[in-house]
Amino acid sequence: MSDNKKKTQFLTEVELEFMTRLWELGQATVRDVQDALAPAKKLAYTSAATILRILEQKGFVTSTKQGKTFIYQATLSKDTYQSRSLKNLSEKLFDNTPAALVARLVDDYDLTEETLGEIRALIDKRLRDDKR
Amino acid sequence: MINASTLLDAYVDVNLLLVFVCVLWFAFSRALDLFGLSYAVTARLRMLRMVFLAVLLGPLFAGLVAGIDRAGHVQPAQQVNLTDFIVAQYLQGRFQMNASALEQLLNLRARLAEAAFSPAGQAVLVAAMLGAALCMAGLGWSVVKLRRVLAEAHRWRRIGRIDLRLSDTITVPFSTRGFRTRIVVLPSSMLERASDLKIALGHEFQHLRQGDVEWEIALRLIRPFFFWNPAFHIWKHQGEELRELSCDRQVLARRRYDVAAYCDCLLRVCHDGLRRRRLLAVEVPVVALVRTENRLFGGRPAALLRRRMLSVIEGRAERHPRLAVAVLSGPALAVTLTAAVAIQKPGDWSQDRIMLSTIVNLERLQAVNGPVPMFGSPGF
Repeated sequence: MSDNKKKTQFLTEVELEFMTRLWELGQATVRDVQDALAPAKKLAYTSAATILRILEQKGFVTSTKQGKTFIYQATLSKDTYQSRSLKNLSEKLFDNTPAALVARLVDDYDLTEETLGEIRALIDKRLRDDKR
Repeated sequence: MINASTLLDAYVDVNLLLVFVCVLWFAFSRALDLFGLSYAVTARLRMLRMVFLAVLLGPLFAGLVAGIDRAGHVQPAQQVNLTDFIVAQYLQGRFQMNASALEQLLNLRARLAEAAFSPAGQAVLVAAMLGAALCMAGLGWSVVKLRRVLAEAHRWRRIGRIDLRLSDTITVPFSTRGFRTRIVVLPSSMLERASDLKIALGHEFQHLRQGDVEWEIALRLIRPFFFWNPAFHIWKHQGEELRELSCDRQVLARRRYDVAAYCDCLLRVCHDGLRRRRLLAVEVPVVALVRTENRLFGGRPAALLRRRMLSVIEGRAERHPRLAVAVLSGPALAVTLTAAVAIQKPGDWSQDRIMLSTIVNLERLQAVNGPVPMFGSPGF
């Protein structure tokens, strides 16, 4: 079975937890990631190693061998994965209309004046950039 | 050379035998319960399988006996035939019935064979073939679905010829097999729960040890031929229940898991399976840790889970299952194989059947001639 087959676009809950730790750490061994996990989510060493190996098969991380240990590094940034997830959410749940997604976010979350101001600033910046 | 009629006879025999042993099995199970052997699930499972094999081999055994009979090695007094037995009982007055009706009942199989060539019979045959084709298509689809799940799963470890895989798309662990390798697939989310992972692996390994996967695949392969026979489905589900009960017992006895942790694991997996039921909703040829879907003749999965948990909580050890099988399977196999011989069409005309035929003819003559006129009646 080739590894290409295994390349899926999205992460399971536990894999996302691992990737979050890896994004924070930059490069890490199995033990580093294991130590960085919250105490309630601690996993056995073999389970942690298995999850990192699956992430490598899926193409989310790469590994390099240093001595007897493998050092893992994310192949995509957190921002890229956020964009991918949001795009998927927008396509599947909001009929491919990002405006509906934003409307739901603005309606249902108790956003402060400050946060709304930040969102407005972001949109204005994007509109200015597009005009250029 | 085996002709179509012989094959059809063998097929009918197997189906009749299945119904017979199904009824017999429930009576036998009830008897075991009364003798306080309700916990002997492993012995029951092995017997169930032995009897099933005896049913499938029944027509061959009957053919062998017929061959020995034709060679003149069987005395007439030793011959076993259900038709001859019923006729003898009738002539001895053990039960009352109209002779013509009895003869019609005894010739039911021959009449059914004749009816198969009538337009209605042909329509039934076509419907049966369509049903079998649908079952085969269902099996093919389930295999495609299973292959997809296996292809998307990640190789985890390999122990001898057992391939361990982790899948993001399943919620219930299961085991299956390829031509050479046996495969255990676990949900990748289970990596978070080390104790559940150990229990699920222990359970699936026990299924592999018991040959449950091979039985499941074999039964799925022959199902298209017996899809219309409720006895087959009842038999299959009895086997599935005993398989799980036996597996639970063996795993707990072998590995000494905590019973509460084991039950918790079953409940959690069942809960996860119910949440994402659609992923493996098609009945695939696998043996899963828990069943989450309702099936015809299979009872509700919750009821099965409850019986499993009660069984492990009760925790009665099954002593000497092999001895129990050795003692109990002899009579069960003897009855099954005797029934296989007894339901065969009778050979030559026996004295009793000639007598029955004479009675039927006399009844017919009486019906044609009308009642015998009595003294003083108008026709005298």
